[in-house]
Amino acid sequence: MTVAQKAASQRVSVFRRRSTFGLVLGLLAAAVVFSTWLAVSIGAVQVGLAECWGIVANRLFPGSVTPFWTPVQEQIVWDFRLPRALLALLVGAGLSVVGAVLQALVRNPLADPFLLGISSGASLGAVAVFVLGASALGGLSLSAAAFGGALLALVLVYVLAQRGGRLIPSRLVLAGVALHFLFQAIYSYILQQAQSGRAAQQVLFWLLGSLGGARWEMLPIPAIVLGAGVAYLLVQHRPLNALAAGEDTATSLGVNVGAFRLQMFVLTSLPVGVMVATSGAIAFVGLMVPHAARLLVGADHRRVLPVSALLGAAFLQLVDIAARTVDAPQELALTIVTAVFGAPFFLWLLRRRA
Amino acid sequence: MRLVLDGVAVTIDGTPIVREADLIVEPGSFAALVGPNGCGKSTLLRTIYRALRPAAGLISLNDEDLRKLKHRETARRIAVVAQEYPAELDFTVEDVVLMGRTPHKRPLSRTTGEDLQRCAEALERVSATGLARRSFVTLSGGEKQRVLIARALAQESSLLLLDEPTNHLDIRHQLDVLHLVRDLGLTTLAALHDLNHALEFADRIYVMDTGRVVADELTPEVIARVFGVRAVSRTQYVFERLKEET
Repeated sequence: MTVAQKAASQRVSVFRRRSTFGLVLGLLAAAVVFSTWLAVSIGAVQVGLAECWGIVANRLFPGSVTPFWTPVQEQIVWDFRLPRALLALLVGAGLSVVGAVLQALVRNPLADPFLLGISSGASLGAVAVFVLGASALGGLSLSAAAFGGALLALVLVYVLAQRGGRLIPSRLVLAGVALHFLFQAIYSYILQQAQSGRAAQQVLFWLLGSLGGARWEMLPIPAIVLGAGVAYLLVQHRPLNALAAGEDTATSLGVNVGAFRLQMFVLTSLPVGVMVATSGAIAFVGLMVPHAARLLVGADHRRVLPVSALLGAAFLQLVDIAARTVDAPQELALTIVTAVFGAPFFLWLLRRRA
Repeated sequence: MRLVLDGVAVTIDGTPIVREADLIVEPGSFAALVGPNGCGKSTLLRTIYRALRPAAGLISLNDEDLRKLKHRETARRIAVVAQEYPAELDFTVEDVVLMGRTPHKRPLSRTTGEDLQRCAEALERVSATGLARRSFVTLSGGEKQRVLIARALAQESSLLLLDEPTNHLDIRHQLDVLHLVRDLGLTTLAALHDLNHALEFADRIYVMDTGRVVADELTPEVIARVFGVRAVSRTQYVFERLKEET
């Protein structure tokens, strides 16, 4: 090797990307598979491991396994646990990636998917259906009403936070927070007036997040919206890095900041609307997972986004398992479990920073 | 790359900040932009790199109208060291320098060995190779400025804009940064605070006052008129020394 070649290889080696990134991705992918395997196997009703996997294999490749299980077991595994596990992965990944993107977008480490008031808009829609009844809203389903509420919030936040068509980050946060409290006031009032303890309890449970509604027939929409949304956000790592470095810096690096911010606003809001509509407002995941991802692989979004997706998916899967087993046959609302992990983690992060 | 500004005016929220700016930066030269606080230096620079839209006038690069270019294309021609740091997030120095490759990349294109090579070279040129793995937030002011210049170099643009690159630096690091920038040999336009630095390093000095470029050289009369002070003793000293030399 000549001296020049040696110098060149040294220069590149200074810049060789952290090999830990690949390792972290591999471990997290294994964690996703393992947690999903657990989620399908464990539950209030005992179904043996062999039965679980026999059922899944037989459904995927009919006739491949001779049934040695009861139809009830098959129903529990195939109709309830599997779609629920898949929804957990989708929502976990979706919340985490959206959280990471929003933290860069508004340049605030405290940003989370519910920052922009979209979740309370969705909650308002859901409460309206619960309390006033679907017929009062033209036969809307709960999910449709929640999504409608999310869209309403999205449009209002945009109208309040834009000036000349450009979104202003500080206004985005302020408008989101203001609308959040306004919507909360409205649906709290509706709940209070409803005087139906059962409905109120049901709504409260839903607001705190639950994947209990997962069925195969409701999976396609979240799968398409979250799958496509997350995939699209994953390849935006360069403009997101640039934006995290500063608005003017991003412009000088060739990012059309106004257009990009608007695009990201819509592309994070729609998945949030869909997630709240399918599983309620699951707190802390979107706030916490991106921070954990940064602890693992640094702030570069090229690494943060995929790590957040996998970490979020595995985390929510485990949270959901805990939620339905800890107090079985009662189910805990997911936010109770995420907050039990999330609040101490956040305080630890806070102290570490200080 | 030749930068020409012709009658540029910029209005922010209805207030005219830059009223009429004409200036030319010749290829390979170092031009300084000086003027009292609030005279519109930063605004003018931000307009050149398109963070702001001019209300009137023409900005051209090698006779190409800037408005006809896409943002990405502009960024391949103009690199900027702004007064802005990545906030809160824990980027390493190499992450920051790699950001300079953004305008050369499409969403789906991978970071290649060539990108890494360009970044390594850029760090080497600012003598900051040893900082590559450090976290950007832990660097000193002088080191940060070097790294941001490396990012601009990784961008491979031929025009370099700097907005008060010596801010918050001690005198030694101020001189370090200015020497470094001048020795790069790029076409450079820098907003500078210190008139002595402008006199020492720039090939040409444009003086701004209340939104106008009012002079293209710095004389004691201009200083008195624009800054409202009699040429301060140190500046006077540099003048006299320059006169002696010529």
